[in-house]
Amino acid sequence: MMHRFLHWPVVIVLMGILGTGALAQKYEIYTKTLGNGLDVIVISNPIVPLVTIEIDVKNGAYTEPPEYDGLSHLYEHMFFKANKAIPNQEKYLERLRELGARWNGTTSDERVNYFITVPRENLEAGLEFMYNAITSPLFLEEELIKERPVVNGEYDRNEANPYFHLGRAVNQKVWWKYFSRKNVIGDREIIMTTTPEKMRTIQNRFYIPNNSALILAGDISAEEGFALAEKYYGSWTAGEDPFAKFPVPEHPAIEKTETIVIEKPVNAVGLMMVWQGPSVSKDPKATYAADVLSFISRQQTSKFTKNLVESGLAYGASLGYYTLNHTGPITLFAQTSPEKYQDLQKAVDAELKQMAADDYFTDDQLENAKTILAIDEQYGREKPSDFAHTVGFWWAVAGLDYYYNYIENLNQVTRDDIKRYLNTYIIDQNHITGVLVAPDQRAKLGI
Amino acid sequence: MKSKYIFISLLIFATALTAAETISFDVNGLKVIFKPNTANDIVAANLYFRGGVKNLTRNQAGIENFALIVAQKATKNFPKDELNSRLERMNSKITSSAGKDYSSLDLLSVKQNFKSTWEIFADMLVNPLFNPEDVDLERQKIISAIEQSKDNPDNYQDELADQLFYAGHPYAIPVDGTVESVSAFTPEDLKSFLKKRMESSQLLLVVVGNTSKEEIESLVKDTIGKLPKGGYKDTSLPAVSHQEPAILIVYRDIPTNYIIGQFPVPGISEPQWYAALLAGAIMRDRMFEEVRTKRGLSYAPAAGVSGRFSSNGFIYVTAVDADSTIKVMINEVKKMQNEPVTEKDLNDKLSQYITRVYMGMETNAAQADRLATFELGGIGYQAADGFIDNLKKVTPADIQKICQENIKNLQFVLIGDPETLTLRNFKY
Repeated sequence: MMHRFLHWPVVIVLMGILGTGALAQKYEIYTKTLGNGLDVIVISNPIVPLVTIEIDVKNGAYTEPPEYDGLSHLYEHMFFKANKAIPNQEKYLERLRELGARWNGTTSDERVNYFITVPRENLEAGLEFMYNAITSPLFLEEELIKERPVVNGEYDRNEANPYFHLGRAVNQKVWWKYFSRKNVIGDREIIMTTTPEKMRTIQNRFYIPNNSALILAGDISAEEGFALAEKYYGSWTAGEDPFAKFPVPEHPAIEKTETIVIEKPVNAVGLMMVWQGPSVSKDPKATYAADVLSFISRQQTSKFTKNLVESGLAYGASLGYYTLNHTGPITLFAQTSPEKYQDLQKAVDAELKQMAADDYFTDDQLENAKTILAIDEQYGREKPSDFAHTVGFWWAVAGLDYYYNYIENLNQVTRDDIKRYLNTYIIDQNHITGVLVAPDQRAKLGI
Repeated sequence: MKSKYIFISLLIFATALTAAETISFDVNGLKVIFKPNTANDIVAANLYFRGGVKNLTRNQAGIENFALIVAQKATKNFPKDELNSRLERMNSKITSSAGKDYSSLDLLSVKQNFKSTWEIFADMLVNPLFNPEDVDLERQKIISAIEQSKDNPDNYQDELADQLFYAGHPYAIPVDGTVESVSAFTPEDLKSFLKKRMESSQLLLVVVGNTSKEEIESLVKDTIGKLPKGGYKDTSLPAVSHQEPAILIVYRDIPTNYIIGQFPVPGISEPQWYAALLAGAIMRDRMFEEVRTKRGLSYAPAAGVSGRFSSNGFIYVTAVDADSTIKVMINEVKKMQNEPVTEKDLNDKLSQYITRVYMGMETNAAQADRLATFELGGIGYQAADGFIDNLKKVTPADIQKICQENIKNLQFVLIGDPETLTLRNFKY
């Protein structure tokens, strides 16, 4: 289980469905909601004789009060262990081998997903296997005890990377009141003392069909996918809407703009600036503008790249918004040398000030950004086993309608939309700046 | 219950998937491999430079990587801003990669933009400018990346493991170069190096996607189809053999220990390669079960076989209790040497491995790389078709023999806190 935390430092590339005729896709996506509320999504692409079976659940850091900090992730580990049909993890892994399955799971801010890719002929057996795993985990005490140090080991690996410390320190300030709801890896103490009861609480609250989606991607038709979904998942019992009963609190604004310095033995200076950005459900228009601006800044011809990277001030620089339903972060990240740090910070500040100017980007760059997003989506669809994860992410975070209309909405983004986004969320807004530097180089930064 | 239909152009039906045959042809001495794929609108076209680091001296370390990066910045017919602007307008991707065995300049576009992208791609190869300011800017970035590779324990460990395991072998030459070598290259060095590499005998073009032989021939003829043939002859890589176990320890104040132990295994051109691949996959499963599932000693135990032409196997783990963990791992190695795997274990692993093979064929770019690997590895791109059949021929006895003959004198690298170690545990 390699767990990808879909937050900093990766600037998440947003992907939507392609709507422009010239770039018409040949892969078919169909959706259906079963009577128990389970959304079934079939992505038909028979490029190879495989089917990816993915289950996405609206769970993750955003559902975690402090006493559950990191337990969505631990739960994800426990998915791969004993259930009513399989007595222990050894047998579980043996069954995966029998099915010829490649498998994994990930936990992120607002989504947990589990997936296996199996040969076409093992599709039904794979569906049954995943059904048992999602509906009847046993959370055996002995397996939980063995898994705690494994998650701790994952934590150790994160802490061995200096940039993890930068991200965590900045995020603690940005999400100061409800940090646990943005802290995917969690709290070591909570992880090491968790109980089967807490796992069951998570299961009962979130692991219900009306809070989940089943995605079937690959060599499969819609008719077959829907019929099999009904056959194997139709009896999964629905539950209460967890978000009606346990609403996610809104993150209060950053209290004040601050700069923090993290000292670790690194061979460059890392600069990370984070603002609180829009939420999909509250300000969807700003999320489209955010994506277009990110892809303008990514272009080699952009002022952002020319002024910060081509000038020689930074080895690389990026500006991105991570789409979330409960306040997504806007992150500017750059790397430089200790000697150039001050000049880079000044250039970044100057860049931010001029971003809302009429001549900050050209009409071509604006249109290119939309094309880039549309064609990236086409590239992303090429690999059905990965595309299942993309669709699952959007299902969980923004809803499929957001996803289906994504390209169309991007095409409607105007300069004024981008200005509004900048003025509402970035320019003169409170933010946290984190600087990662080697202890013996700090004096050169002048901070 | 609600049902929602999502689009799509009914004019083009998904089952138009073709299992079209891969073909090869020659354009003025340049070998071209082409696999049509009309199932999507994407074209991947990669130009491979044969030989990799075995063409380089220590002082030239990193020159191929550096030259290919700067070649993408500006060309005679496409000044920098125009080049970038055109690519952005099409969202075509041109990227380079440099490896131990070969390097490549890779093109990815939608089919409507293939021709326009190719014009830029070919100009990067034939008419790169190597402006001094571009060279200096990229030099800074490359040097910083070399220095920063030490910041991440996994990256640093990979580099050290190559230095230890492949000492005296061409693979000891770092692909990205060293701070010293990269600092010394002039624009003229890069230009001259790439020009010498642009001979058809040193190159291989692989195209996978929604295009045709005729279109490829036409594009190549007018551009890289006019190159001199040259007289490049591939040479074999020396074998790697270690007479004693070894461990290199690097102290670092981090919360866990990063450990890798390597051993030589048969490479792609040897018949035992297939058994080595499956042996590595089975060993990986056993490490996972024994180290992680049963004992909770590590999040990340692993084992496997590299895809390099001069191949190596490895066991890998990050663990706080390095002694106990390595004992368990070595014990599993011994079991594989002393007892044949069962037919069931082998068949199950084979099935899982075949899924992995197919997953590696989902994109056109991945298929291009796959065909190139077989061709450049010396067994011909056609061997890609027989790969699964050859895996199926592997027996439990083959697996045991691979383990017995190859897993010895492990070459370990450890980054972490050596005070917690008993060195004799690593001597195997």
